[in-house]
Amino acid sequence: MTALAQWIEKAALAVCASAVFLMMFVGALDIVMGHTVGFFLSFKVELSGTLLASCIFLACGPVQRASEHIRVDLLEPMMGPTFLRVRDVATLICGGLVIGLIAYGLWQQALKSILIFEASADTSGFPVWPWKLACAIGASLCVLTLLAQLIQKLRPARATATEGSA
Amino acid sequence: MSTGLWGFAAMIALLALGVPVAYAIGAVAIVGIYIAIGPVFLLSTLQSLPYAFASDYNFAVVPMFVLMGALAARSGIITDLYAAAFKLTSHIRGSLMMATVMAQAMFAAISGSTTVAASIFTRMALPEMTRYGYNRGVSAGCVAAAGTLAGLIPPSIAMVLYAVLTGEPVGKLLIAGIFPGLLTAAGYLVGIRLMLIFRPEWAPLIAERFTLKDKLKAVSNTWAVFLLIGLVLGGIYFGVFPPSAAGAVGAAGVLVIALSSRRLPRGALWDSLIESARISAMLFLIVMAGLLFSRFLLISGFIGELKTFVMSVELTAAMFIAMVLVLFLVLGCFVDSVSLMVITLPFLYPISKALGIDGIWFGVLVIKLIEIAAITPPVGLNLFAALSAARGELTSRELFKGVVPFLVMEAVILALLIAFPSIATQLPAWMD
Repeated sequence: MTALAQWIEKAALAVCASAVFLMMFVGALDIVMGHTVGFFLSFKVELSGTLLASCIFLACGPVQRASEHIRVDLLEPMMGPTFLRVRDVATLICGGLVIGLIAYGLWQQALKSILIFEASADTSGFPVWPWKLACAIGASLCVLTLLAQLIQKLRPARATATEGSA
Repeated sequence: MSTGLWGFAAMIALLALGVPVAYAIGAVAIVGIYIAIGPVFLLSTLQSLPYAFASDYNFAVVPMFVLMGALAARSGIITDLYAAAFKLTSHIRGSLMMATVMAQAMFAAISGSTTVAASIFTRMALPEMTRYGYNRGVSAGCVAAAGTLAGLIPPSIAMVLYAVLTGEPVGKLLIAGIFPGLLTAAGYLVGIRLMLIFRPEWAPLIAERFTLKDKLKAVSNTWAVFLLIGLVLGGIYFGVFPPSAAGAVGAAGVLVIALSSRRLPRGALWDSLIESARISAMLFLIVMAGLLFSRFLLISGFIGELKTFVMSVELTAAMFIAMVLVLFLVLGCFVDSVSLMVITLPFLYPISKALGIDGIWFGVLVIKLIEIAAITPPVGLNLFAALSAARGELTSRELFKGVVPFLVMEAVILALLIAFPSIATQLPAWMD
């Protein structure tokens, strides 16, 4: 992984971690304040939802890069190297299709949101559009990760074929 | 019907090939929706569903529950629970197994992940049990089996995911798991006692004795955990706050306990936050794909035709439950819990509703079956968690043999849950 990719992943995870911490803090603070001084935070629901979405999509890329997705590996010991390669390529194509289309949908949402500088409907009016943009960027980073992995996966195949023909 | 069936066949082929569950289900759903209804509906679904689902405040509880468990695991709270449970039971044969069950039940009340519980306790309890001459396989089986308590006792991530997939109320589902979870823990304790009457050599008596003062001191060390459990469960049950807020309160509570006792290692909070984000992303992608798959099955007419078929063959609720039992126990040996729910609930839940089965009870039953499957050889997820955490000190053969007594106990508990549905439905009914 290049230094730039490493930096991007670290930055994405830092945003994720901060989002999770904020969700916890705001959620707990709302309950404590609501039950002690009778003041509930009006932005809790929308802020937590927005943070959750950005956290989920920003973490997709690192999860894909580390191959942390749940899979049924029952038949794996029986698979030869060719079969495993087919499996890996099928994984990356399916992943590309799914995340690619999700990224498309998220970009549509993000662009609409940016155009109107969307803010939350509650009294705080915090900006929602940067978080929607973060979602789209997160999903796109995952697509790029999948693409890079696919290229990497196809490269040794070509090399082996060349060696074989030689 | 044929499009739906082809979709199922394609999904199973991709899963068997080893394609990640989220991608396999998602890809089949996307292609299926495209074939069934066309690109316009597909693209509009993809514009709305992923963000709407991921930003739903009700599901913010998932990362919070994961965070609670991650912080509790890193802060050494578990050690206190285990020590207290051991000191309380040290005079009984099999005390370390009983302590494992009791501590795991308490840990289940602050963590929602069964595999996390199984792997942490394997590392902590298995060496102790081996040191005292316990049968290694049975000890590891005990740890793996008791790990499943986290699936039932709230906060349970599995319950939240069931709620997401079916639309049943999260709060009631979480509360519904309390009695079945406690019943399972009690069943294990009784089962261990009975098992050791016939096989005393599996767990020699421990000579170590503790005074009442020692026991009280050990229990008092865990007061914060009890306070936290009471706060989170009490808050949900009495409607003081919604489950999503309970997650945040619980996670903040564990953090405060860990910081005040100065037991949170440097960087542990950051690592826990990142772990929570990564696990949540993984789970959300699977469930998102599952929701797309549900839409595909509905659009393709598969659900409607399946319901008509079920009604035409006059399938009774009892027959349906028997089929579900077999399906989950067989599939559960090969597929993990989350994936199993995502694959099966889109068609099982509508049938259960058509047959008039209580959605909450069905949820508890599904989770119970999934947890039993998690300790069923050869591919139970908790067994693998225990095996990998044992770091080569345990063979799979030993573990597979050792978990058998716990599967027998589970069969009895499952029979009780089916015979007396009120075990699961009574507490949620009282919430109304």
